[in-house]
Amino acid sequence: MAGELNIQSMLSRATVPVMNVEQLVYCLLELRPAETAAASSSLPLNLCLVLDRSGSMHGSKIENLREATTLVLDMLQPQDYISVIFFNSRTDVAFPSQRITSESRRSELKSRVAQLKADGGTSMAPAMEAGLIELRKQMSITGNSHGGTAQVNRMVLLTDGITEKEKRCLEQAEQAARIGVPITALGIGKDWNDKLMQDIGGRSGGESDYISTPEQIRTHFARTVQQMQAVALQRVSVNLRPALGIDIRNVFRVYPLIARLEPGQVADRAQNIYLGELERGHGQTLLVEFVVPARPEGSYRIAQVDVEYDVPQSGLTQQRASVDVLLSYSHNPAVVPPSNASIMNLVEKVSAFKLQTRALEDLEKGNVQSATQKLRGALTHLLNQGDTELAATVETELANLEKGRMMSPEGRKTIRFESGKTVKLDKS
Amino acid sequence: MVIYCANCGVELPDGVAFCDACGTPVRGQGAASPKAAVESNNGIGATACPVCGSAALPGEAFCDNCGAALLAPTSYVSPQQAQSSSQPASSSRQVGAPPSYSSAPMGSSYSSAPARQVTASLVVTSPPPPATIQIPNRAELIVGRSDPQSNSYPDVDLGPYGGLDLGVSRRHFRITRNGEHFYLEDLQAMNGSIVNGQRIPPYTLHPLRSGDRISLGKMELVFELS
Repeated sequence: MAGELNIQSMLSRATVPVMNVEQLVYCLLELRPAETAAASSSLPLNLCLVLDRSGSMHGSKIENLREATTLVLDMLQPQDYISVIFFNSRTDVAFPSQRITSESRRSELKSRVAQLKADGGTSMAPAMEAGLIELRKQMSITGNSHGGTAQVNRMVLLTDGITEKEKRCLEQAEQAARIGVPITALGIGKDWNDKLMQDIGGRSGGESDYISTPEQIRTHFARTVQQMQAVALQRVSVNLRPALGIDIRNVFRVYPLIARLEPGQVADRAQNIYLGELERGHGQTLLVEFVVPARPEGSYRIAQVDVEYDVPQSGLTQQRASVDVLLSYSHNPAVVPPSNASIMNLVEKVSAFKLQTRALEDLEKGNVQSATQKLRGALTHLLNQGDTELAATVETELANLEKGRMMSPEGRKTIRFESGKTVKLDKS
Repeated sequence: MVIYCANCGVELPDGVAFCDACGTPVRGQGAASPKAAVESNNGIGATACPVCGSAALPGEAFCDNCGAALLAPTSYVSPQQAQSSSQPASSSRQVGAPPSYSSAPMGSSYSSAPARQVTASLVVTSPPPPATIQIPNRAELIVGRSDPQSNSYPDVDLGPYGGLDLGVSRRHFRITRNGEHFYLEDLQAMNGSIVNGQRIPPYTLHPLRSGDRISLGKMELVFELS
């Protein structure tokens, strides 16, 4: 039975003027697990922490990392599986995948974490590989490629340095995506490769972030566990079927993080977007840009949205929910409403995100002038949106570029990871 | 009886409300005559970005290339406005009303420039230090920042006060004078013109009083009469 998923579609303008040219209409698609699904308890977790213990982690970083790992052990339920891998130049399975079935077990694992010391170099790929081996132990062999068993899989990867063999790390991220393990890739300090960690998060179907101070490690770890515990629907995919003559120009996820989504073509005009898991509460929100043709006055269905999903708690697979996107054309300017303010705010956030992302790409290619222009445009949006903190960073880095200097590593990381956030993590 | 879509001719299954192919409603087929998609751009948006010249679609909010705002700020409510419920519903909520480009409605012209001994000035209060700019005694003048590249030289140039970095447009607003009365008219500047915390819809005349605070991006000005 369907009904575990609520879909809402909202256009920036439900009515557009009749024109003799194409127009652009923004559509917000909200996908939220219904309250019934939301009321259920959390699914079993299958979590692996892959943690950098190289020499540069010495001091408050390793202390806070120990504390954060202990916090994760405290947050886990008896049904959850946990494994921890430490790495420097070598890979060390601190403890293999297991359940915490007693308090004495919990203390034993904590004492192993307490012995963690920082030394050596950084070789991340073998540790990722070992992590995937631990995670796979709890994934059914007969299960399909997206981890069809009713559990929530995740790898948390944390580093503060430049690793050897980056290409192999990306291969591991792709392998993780194939077996259905999103990676939360976290970097701390200023000397790690932010592009690599972003790609690891992205390619695995997970996410990435910048931890600017060691005290924030525990906030990030705790949030990841909470997100896993909030998963209500899995294997969620959206099929967008625009009507004849309607083009989909772009699809962005705007909540919880902004990202351009690359739809796969299904048939004809239809596009399929794999969203993965939906958490209780907000779920995910997409922004679709429809290019609509000139049409006579009237009301039209411009697209059908079909969503397929699994409800792991009740063992239901491939459930469906649908919604129509309707648009009216009118000759009467009085009935053409102003654009929806909350949608336009998100559109502006996406525009700022695009400009910042492209500016970083320009810089990678050495095109400083173009990057500067884009950052200047982004700055205007950020100021409009009242995002003064990120605006200040962008301003500082603009000044650096204009004086012929490089961006600071911290500034670049802040821009890379903060620009996509529609909700800011509470810095506590 | 087999039904065909009036718009695209596809055969329609029974009971559908919309054509599966083109989305045209099945009921009211007669109403949608495929003629006359007319009219111009009802002030909904530009078809080329005014800043970088990239192609844009009506309804598009920001230039895909450079990010410049393409819709008049009047077409949606800014977050600040949305939050302040105390603010009266202003004309800024009406979209589709094409901006009026006509100049001052009180019939002023350059020749009838006022001769009264009222002098107006703009005081740059932020960024510090405060600086006073005398406003030339003219019926109309443009405030903005100079940009030799685009050959833009406004009457009052805020460039030397950091206008570029603070978000001042090349042509930000117009001050129109009629006798002792002064009006501010936002020229659809990217960051808009905010007077005493209220965003002024573009191309509308807003009366200025001595002591009014004007925000342009991050620059703060005070309008003063003496």
